[in-house]
Amino acid sequence: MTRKTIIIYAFSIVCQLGLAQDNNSCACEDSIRSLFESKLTGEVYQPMILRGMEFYHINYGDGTIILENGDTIFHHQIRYNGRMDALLYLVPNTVHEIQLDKFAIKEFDFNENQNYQREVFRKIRVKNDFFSDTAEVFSQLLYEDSLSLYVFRQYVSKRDQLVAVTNDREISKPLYVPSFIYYFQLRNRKTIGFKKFKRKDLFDLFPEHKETMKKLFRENRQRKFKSESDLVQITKILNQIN
Amino acid sequence: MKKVFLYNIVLILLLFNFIENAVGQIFKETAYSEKAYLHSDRLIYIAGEDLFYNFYLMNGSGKPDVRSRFAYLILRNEESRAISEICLNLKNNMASGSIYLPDTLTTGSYQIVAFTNFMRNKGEETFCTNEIFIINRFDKDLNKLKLNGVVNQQRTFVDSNLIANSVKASLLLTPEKTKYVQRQKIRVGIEGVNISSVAPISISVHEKVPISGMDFFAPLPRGNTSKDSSSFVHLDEQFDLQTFQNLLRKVSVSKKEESHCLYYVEANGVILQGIVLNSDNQQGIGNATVFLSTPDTIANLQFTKTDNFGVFRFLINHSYNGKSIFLRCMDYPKASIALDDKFSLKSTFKPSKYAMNPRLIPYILKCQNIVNIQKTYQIKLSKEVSNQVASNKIPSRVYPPKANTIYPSDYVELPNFFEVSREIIQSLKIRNKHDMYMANMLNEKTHEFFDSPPLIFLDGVPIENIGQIITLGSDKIKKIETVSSERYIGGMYFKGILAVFSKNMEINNVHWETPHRLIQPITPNPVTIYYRPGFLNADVDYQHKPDFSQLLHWEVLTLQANEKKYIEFSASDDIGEFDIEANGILSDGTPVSAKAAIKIVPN
Repeated sequence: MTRKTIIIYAFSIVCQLGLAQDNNSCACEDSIRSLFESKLTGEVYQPMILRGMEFYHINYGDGTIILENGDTIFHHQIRYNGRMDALLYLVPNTVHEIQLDKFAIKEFDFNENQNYQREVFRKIRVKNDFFSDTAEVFSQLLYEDSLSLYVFRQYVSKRDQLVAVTNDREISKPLYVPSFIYYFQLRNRKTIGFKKFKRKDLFDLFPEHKETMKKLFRENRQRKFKSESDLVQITKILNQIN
Repeated sequence: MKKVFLYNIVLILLLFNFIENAVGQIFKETAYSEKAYLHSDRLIYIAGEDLFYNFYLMNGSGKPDVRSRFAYLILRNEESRAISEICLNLKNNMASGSIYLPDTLTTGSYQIVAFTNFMRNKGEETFCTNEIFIINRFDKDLNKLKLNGVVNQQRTFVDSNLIANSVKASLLLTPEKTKYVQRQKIRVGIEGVNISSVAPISISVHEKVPISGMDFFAPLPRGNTSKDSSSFVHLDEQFDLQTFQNLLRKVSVSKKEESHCLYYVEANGVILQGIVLNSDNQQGIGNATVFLSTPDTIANLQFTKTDNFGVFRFLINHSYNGKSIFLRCMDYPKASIALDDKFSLKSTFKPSKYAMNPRLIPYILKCQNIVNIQKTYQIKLSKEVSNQVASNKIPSRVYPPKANTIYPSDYVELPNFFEVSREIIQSLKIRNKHDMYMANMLNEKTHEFFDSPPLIFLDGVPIENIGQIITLGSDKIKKIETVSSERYIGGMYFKGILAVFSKNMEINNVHWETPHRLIQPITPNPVTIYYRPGFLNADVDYQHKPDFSQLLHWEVLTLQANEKKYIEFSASDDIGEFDIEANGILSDGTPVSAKAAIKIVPN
């Protein structure tokens, strides 16, 4: 028997066995999943021409959406708009963008970002100086424990800037810039919001634990209070306080 | 040389076609399947009593994975007419409860059929069936009765193959005493012998039938006398069932070729299945849109497209429990909607042929008298423990809760909706052209009216056009909600939404132009348990009432390996011999059973 014959025999066996299995597997489960998957609802998004930035992710990415009714919707193209605090969904094979109903969404995850990390956004209820009343906002989960850390990736208009002069009339348009707000979420779901974080600000947030925090920072050699990764490290340390 | 290669290839293909079939058969046999088991508390009942049951579902291949969470029970008579149709919500693959046997039932054999939606794929021969005997309370001249009845000799479970293998594992029942006085507390130990896995065990304590098993009745010669009756059909649904069954038969043939199931596993809710038919040729219409909604204070909508055969399916979750459902086909005005009736069985019930054994007559007469006494003193042995399954599911809302809301009662009374829209709904424009009313919603973003009509709801249900509500005056309207933007709902776009909520459910008076159906969905039955008031429950009223209950106890419990449990109950005023029966199924499918006897004597 030549090598050629053996290869053909092997190829035939693999093909035939593969077919045998496919013919007898039931496709019901896939049908059920797709048939009874909750439908996304929202309104057609009409993009605005504005100066600056409004999207935390410029491009659409593969994401998972967890709805308030408990259903999970996998592999949809989504992106987060920080100006409107809204999740946008790109309808497959179209250019239609849908601003999904916030009331129906509990959480959404971007399956992989540029650093190959999963990003989780949750709808949390917040109350602080930045809002007159409690409000639900989509915030990115940075660290989850007894004390969790979230960041609200909002984009706000900084100030109106002159962009053109037409018929002696000055046309000003706002410039949108990131204005992220960080939230500690306590075990009882209460949130404490802050925009900037310095050592002193942290001590002010938890004055009763000031000495313990000082000690823990010293032990963990946590001197930096600048980047988000520093804040994540600090949250990890704070979780050591019961 | 090339020819030899070709011959070889052809030979191999033929050989592996054979292997494919063989392997395919193996896969088919090991594919997911379900097996239902049912245990009832007794074999003979008097009309007016409760029948207690325990339903248990297992994976057909003995694996722990069971996907269905809903099952169905049908109690039917000798004419195969359904007496009771029940939907069960399974918890830990099990459901127990009771069926009330109406007083008007005629004496004869009855059959309990238990199955899941998924089991319907393999035919009704895979359903679990139990034969029982029910005697009417007022049939006193029992000698004259030529009964078509009863009963499985082996009172465990239906699967006789498993029964044959059940010798290894067993149960042991150990009553503390063999003799008790009336109303005395009774304690019985139950333990598994060689039981290695968790087992749901049904325990029944009932008055002993003087003659056991098949000896209840003398056999009659079998003839062709049994009626070739068709399965029970609701008259108003006869058309549906016939056409649906014929069509499904065709579909099932085609579907088998595609390795699809026709009846899906019901894991998250009951599946409502139907077919959209072309009224002219009775063929299924593919790609038709079917709307489902329920009259509610929230505008709600589910929709789906029919497949190539015209079949559609909806998942009916707990949010629809107890509500009526509107089904409507939008695209084809001449179509009709036929629905699948899960309780419609094709097979007929062929009861065993036996004549009454005279030795049984005194026992039956005693049972009838006891039921009469129990009825007089309103002693009922079943008790509802929960109404419905709690759920966080809400009907599929189509727009955010904070819609623009208008209350017509805040304004002067207006005679019709044309005037209502003109005077108080700024974002809606209605035009009348040749007695045809057209509505358009304002787009709040462009400040122009949309070019096509909005999606209009009345009492939470989408209607066809504004003309259907044009006669509604403001006195009949509770509130109006509007959404002035282009809405997206799972692949469909709507140019605004208008939702009108009436004071007196005007949706029931709407004249429809497109095919629609108003149905009551199948909802799981409330859970009932066996409950007999007694001194164990410290019921004061009970002390002053006679209690001749012949069913002293009914309970479903689980036994771990080498575990011993105790059950406690009290004797009633009824005296005589009582059987304690335990029947169960181990998680590997092995049936186990045990029996013990006690005697109740007068005080």
